[in-house]
Parts: sequence; C-alpha cells; structure tokens
Amino acid sequence: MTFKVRHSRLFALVLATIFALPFSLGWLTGLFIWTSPLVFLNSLSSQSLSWLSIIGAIILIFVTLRHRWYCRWLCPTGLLCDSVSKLSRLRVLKGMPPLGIFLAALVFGAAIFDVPALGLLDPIVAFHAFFSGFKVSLVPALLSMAGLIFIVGINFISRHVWCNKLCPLGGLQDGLTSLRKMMTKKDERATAFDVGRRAAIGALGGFGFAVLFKRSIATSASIIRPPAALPEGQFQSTCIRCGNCARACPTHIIQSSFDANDIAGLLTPKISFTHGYCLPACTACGTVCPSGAIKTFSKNDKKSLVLGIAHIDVENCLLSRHKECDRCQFYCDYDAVMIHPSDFELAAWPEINRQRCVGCGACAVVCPANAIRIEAAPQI
Amino acid sequence: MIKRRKFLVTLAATTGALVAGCQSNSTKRQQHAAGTRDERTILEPAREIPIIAEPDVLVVGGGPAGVAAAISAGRAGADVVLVERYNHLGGLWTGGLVLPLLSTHAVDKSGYHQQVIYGVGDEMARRLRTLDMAIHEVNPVIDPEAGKYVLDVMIKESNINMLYHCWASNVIVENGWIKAVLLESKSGRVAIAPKMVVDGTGDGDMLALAGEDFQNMKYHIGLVHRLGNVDRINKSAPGYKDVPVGNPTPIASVNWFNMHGENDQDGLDLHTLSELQQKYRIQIWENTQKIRATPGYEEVFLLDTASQLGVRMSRILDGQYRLTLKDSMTFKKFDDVIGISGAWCTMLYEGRRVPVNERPLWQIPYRSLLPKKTKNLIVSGRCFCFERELVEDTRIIGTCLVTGHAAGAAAAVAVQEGSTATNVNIKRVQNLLKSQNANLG
Ligand SMILES: Cc1cc2nc3c(=O)[nH]c(=O)nc-3n(C[C@H](O)[C@H](O)[C@H](O)COP(=O)(O)OP(=O)(O)OC[C@H]3O[C@@H](n4cnc5c(N)ncnc54)[C@H](O)[C@@H]3O)c2cc1C
Ligand code: SF4
Repeated sequence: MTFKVRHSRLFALVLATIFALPFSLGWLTGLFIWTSPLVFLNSLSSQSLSWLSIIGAIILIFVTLRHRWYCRWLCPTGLLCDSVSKLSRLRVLKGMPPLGIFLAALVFGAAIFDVPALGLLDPIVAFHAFFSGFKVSLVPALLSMAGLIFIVGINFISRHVWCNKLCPLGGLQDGLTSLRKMMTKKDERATAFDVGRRAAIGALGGFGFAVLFKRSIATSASIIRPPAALPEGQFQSTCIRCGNCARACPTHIIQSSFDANDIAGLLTPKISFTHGYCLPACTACGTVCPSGAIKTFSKNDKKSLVLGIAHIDVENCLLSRHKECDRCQFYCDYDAVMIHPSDFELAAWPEINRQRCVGCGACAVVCPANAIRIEAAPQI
Repeated sequence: MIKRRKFLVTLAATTGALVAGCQSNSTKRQQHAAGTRDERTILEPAREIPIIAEPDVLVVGGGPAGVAAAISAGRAGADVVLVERYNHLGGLWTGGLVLPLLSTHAVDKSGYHQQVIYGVGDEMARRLRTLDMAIHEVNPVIDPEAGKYVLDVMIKESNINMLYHCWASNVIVENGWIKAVLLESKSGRVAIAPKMVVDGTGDGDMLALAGEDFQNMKYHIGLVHRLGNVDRINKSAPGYKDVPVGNPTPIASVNWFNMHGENDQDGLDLHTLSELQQKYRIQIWENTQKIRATPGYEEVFLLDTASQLGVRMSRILDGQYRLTLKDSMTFKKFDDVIGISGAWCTMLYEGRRVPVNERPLWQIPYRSLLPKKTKNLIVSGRCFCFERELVEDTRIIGTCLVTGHAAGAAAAVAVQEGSTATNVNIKRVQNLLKSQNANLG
C-alpha cells in the first residue's frame, strides 16, 4: 500500500510539474490545478465553472468517500512536505489546534464575496504559482514562489504541520469525512459538531477578509487585462493568481503584475506589448483559467473582445519623414489602421479606426519608430 | 546579331494584345491588356511580324533584375538581347528615383551582421562608390544618373544587344515554349525568337502573357521626386521653420523625396496609373511651391519627378515554390539555392516583434523563380514566387539584383545544355553563379 501511494504521488508530482512549467501546452497548460476540489468548489461558488471543472468534481466524490484520498494519492505538495518533514526532528507547533477546516471555510466565505483567498492558501495553486515565477522578473518571481516555499518550509520547523494542521484542502477532506461518518454513525456527532463550529468561524473570518480585501482594491484603469477578463474590480477579486494564463500565452505578453501601490492586484496577469501581441486566433488564456476571472471564449468571440485601443503619435511616424513604412496597416488583422495619403507636405499618416481596433497590439509591437502605444479600453 | 526574317503569326487571338475579351479563358490576359473598366472590344486582324533577332536569351525589362540577368547571361557567353520600354536602365532604382539599395546586409544564425548582396549587384554598387556616386557603406543611396550610366557601361561591356524604346506586348507560346516575344516600337511591331526568356518587367508582364497563374497584389503607389538647392536653405532667415525636404543623395545640393501614395492601388490598371501620375505630379509641384514660399527655402526647386511611377507591387507568380516568411525566419536551406538576400524592416513573426537587426539573411531557391507551365521562362525581380508576408524583403532592390543575377545564369546554362528552365543542371548554375561572385551561403 505505502509503496503504491509513494509512487502515485511521485507520478503526480512529475506530471504536475510538467504541466506547470512555463511551456505553452494549449489546454494542458497547468492542467493539474483542475484536480483540486478546493478550486472546483471555489469556481462553483463564484459561478465560473468550465468543462475542465469536471476533473475537480470527480475528485470531490473520491475524497468524500475515502478519507484524505487526495492527500494520499495525488497531492504533489504533500509529497514535498513529507520529504522535508523527514529531514527534521523539530515539532515547534505541536500544541496548535488543527486549522485546516477553518481555513477551508474561510476560503468559501471569501469566495461568496468573490475574493480569492484560495490563491494564498490552496497547496495546488501555490504549487502552480511557484512555477509562474520562471517567466517574470525577480521580485514578482520571488513573490509567486513564496507560497510554496512557506508551505513546504514550515514542515522543517514542525514536522507534518502543514498537512495535519494547516492545509485547507486537507481540512476540507477531514470535514467531508466527519460529515459522512455523522450521517452513518451516531457516535460521531460530537466531532462533527466541533468541525461545524470551526467551519462557521472560518466562514465568518472569510467574510471579514473579503470585506477588507475589497476595500483595498484600487481599480486602476490603466492596466490591460487578458481578453475576456471580468471587469476590473471583479477581476482582481476572482483571479486566484495561479499564473496559468501567463504560462499558456504563446506570445508571452501576459505577465504577473507587481506594483507596490496595488497590493490587491499583486500577481494578477496584465498585458505588456513589449515583444509580442495578442494573436487573433488564440484562446489559450480563457481555456486554462481555473477561476473564471478570464472567461472561456471561442475564436469567433475573440474577434470582438477588446483589450484596449491603439494610439498613434503621428509626429514620430516614419511617414512624416517620408520613409518607406506601412507596417501598422499591413499587420492589422482587424482592418483598423488606415494610412491616409496626404497632400499636406506630401506626408502620409496612419489613423486608427476606433470602432474596429481591439487593442491586440500588433501595430504597437511592429512599429519601427515606436510611435504606437496601446491604452486600456475605458471601463463600461 | 540582330537578324531580319518574317514570322507568320497565324492566330489572330495571340497577336491581339489590345483585344480585350476575345481570348478564351484568361481573365488575367484581359487584365493585362486594356483596363477592366472597358467592356466593348474590337478584333485585331492577324498579321505578319518581322523577327528581328533569335538570341539565346531575351531579357524583358531593364530594371535591377533584368540588367543583372542580362549581364550574367552575357558574361557566361550567351547571345543576349535586353529590351526596355523606356530610355534608361535601372527601372525603379534609377528611373523611379528609389535610390537606396536595400538590403545589402543581414545577420546570420549567430547574429553576426554581414554583407549579403554580392555578384553583379555588388559590382554595380562598387562601381558607383568608385565614382563617388553612392553614400553609406550599408544600403547605399545612389545618384540615379550615375546609376543609369554605370548600368549602360556594364551592359555594353558584356556585349549585350540593348533595345530601348521597345514595349513587349505579347508572346507566342507553342507546346509550353515561348516561340516569340512581340515588341511595340517606333519600327512597328517586331518579334524576337529567343531560346530562353527572362521576365524582368517587375510587373510580371511576360509570365502573365505566357498564361502562368499569378496574384495581383494591390499596394500603395507613389511618385518619387528630387529637390535641388537643398544646400542653400538659409536656416537663419527670419521666420525660418523646419519643413521636410526629403533625404540626402550623393550630390550635396540634391535630396530625394519619397511618397507613400494611395493604398490598395491596382498597378496593372492603365486608368489608375494615369490618374495617379497626373494627381501626384500636380501635388508635388504645389508642395514645392509651398516649400519655396517658406522663409529660408526660396532657392529650393523641383529638380525632377520620377520618370517611372512608383508601383511597388503588382503580379506575384504562382510558381514551383512559394518562399515564406517562415523559411526566412528559420534560415531554411535549399538544395537549389541561387542567392541570399537580407531584410530591412521590422516584422511580426509568430506573434513576436523581430527588429531589423535581428532579421536573418535568407536563401532563395531556384524553384521560386520557375513558372509551372512555360518551359523556357524564368522570372526575376519583384514578381517571383513568395508569400505576401515576405513582400517587404522580396521587392527591394537587393533581392531583385540577386534573383535577376540567378535567372540570367540559369538561362545561359539552359541554353548551353539545350534543356528547359526546370530541368537545367542546378549544380552547373550554382557553379556559374559562384564564379560570378554570387553569394550562395
Ligand atoms: C516608391 C517606392 C519606394 C521604394 N523604396 C525602396 C527602397 O528604398 N529601397 C529598395 O531597395 N527598394 C525600394 N523599392 C522597391 C524597388 O525599387 C523595386 O521593387 C525594384 O526596383 C524592382 O526591380 P525590378 O527589376 O523587379 O523591376 P523594376 O524596377 O520595376 O524594373 C522593371 C523594368 O522593366 C521595364 N518594363 C516593364 N514592363 C515592360 C514591358 N512590357 N516591356 C519592356 N520593358 C518593360 C520597366 O520600364 C522597368 O524599367 C521602392 C519602390 C517604390 C515604388
Ligand atoms: S508602423 Fe509606425 S512608423 Fe510605420 S507607418 Fe505605422 S505608425 Fe508609422
């Protein structure tokens, strides 16, 4: 038994790592995140289920029927925690009561108010966030890695403390087991009551957290979000900061935000058009987003999804100096750039059709004179 | 040399370059003839045309591609006739006043920036430099009259029969072979019956007349002009302000002034060409007057408007291989490589920005110069077979010089071997190109 379990988790760890590494693997990108029943319940409570949510739903059934099934068979983070625990003899947090169920309830309490406490607490999300650090600059990288480092590291101070006492995913499974036992055996009532009490306190804590968090959201209109992202305020509170969209983006334009003035938006995805643009036929970010912060969209939907709007600084355009150029018009997939021939000083000039422009960034990226920038679309 | 013989043309239809609508299935042919706006037609009677020459190689069009082709074939020992409708060589490079030779340099796989244009084209640039008539080491800007002079000298040295003021208007094709090319000239309609034909018309007139498939790419058409006395602009004049006066040329007092022009124009429509020509010339004159009315610019004057309208693109051959942007970005190697060219502008590739200094040098395969049906036709210059994403790199003068050089060499080898353009021994072509200092990587 133990032998098999070890191998199953090792296999899960390898698989999860492959999917979590910063390769654009289409819908497989970050696939393992969908196995977390917590992520599933979170999507359920924020009404953002997608077809990949089926994975989480099935696993939820397993963990209800078999105690700590996820921990034993699938959890890559659990395997890491166990390995670290083996290195240590310390049990500093021995006397601490188990907080897992409390934290799980907190997650749901917050989720009802659309606040993703999950991002901070789910071991699977933390596992994925760790790998998103590979693509970004140092500080956001360290921040996104911090979650997993904390979860794994705390076991060195006190052996097995994460899995036994802190993990909300573990807590959720414990809660489900008590619930099942309560229904089948009368004498388990007392424990179940205890669990219920902790859950209620946790949920209240979640509400409180949500209220505080929402107040700290600075809806900055200047940030460009991935296509089909929820409206700004809602987006920040729904995104669980797992980094899946950034991983999946084939042109690497989605990056983790790190703005000290915008703590609430920390590690949320934002678009930067320095090296690439948003491909007209790409639907990757919508497919891999497990929280519903970026809605699933089709290639057809994509045509009308607005990221922002292009602005051309005509004075810097090469055409104003009578140089050969038509790059912005040539590359516009939306027919939104028009170069006007002009008889004034014979200089032609490009213009953006604001009705057609979706802010995909192709013109801004290609412009050899850096005369074009994309601004966030005004929030409706 | 040039001979005289009667050539009997039996089919009325084949002679009817001016007859729109009477040819069976070829709308492209109609487009080549009169503009599509005219619906009424007239039938031209068959007539006998004198054959004035039966050369090994006939090059039609004396632009960068055609001239390079003629020189290469002539130096390889072929008997060559070069036909040009206007009064000068160099095409848009000189007559179109498009003076910068792009793109002489590009980066290789390890990012090393190096010269890519060699062979006949490089020789032209070097001769112009020796005359002090080219500025800049990379992408030289030349003086157009010096360009015309150097090309005339090189054509003369290579013993090529030069026919100016001749407009190739039709071809006679039998069993996939071009038997004769018909020219309109001051001596009336005349025929040339060559073994091999190189299309150097820029617009691909020959490939269309031969019945090959093509796309007609509509692009912006401009008219370049030059301003004189730009060295006499008085910046300290009261009321002086900065006004664009174009870009420098090898002659200090002269600037060239590019024009983007109108988008999406059909370079094969005679009405479009005429309307734009007229409109642009008036605009240029009026703009120059505005410049002259600006304090400090009184002595600036309009030196000339280009004698060739700036048709950037028109036909693109549907050939045996379509060169792609991906080929260029991935340094694709071809067994039948006949030249290497570079890039000059920023591109998007797989959603990424690729700036000029990261744009690689790329190989051109012989097959992209080959039409699918005609056995003795090789296409060169801005109409060879490539995808539109690559157009900014394929239409530039450097690439035209490279494809022209290769087309001429291949035509000469095909004549020596008595083979078709497709079946020519590519190794021999490559060896000839190398012996003529071409760069095959
Ligand atoms: C406005 C403008 C700006 C440009 N800027 C640059 C630049 O900065 N740098 C650069 O490298 N390139 C530039 N280009 C592109 C480049 O100049 C051309 O693509 C290149 O000259 C094409 O060479 P070619 O030999 O294929 O054809 P062309 O130069 O067009 O030459 C074709 C020749 O064939 C003749 N001809 C055509 N049809 C017939 C016929 N039926 N019978 C007889 N003769 C015929 C023509 O008179 C002409 O002389 C520019 C082009 C334009 C229009
Ligand atoms: S790409 Fe930039 S420089 Fe070129 S035409 Fe457009 S705005 Fe002008």
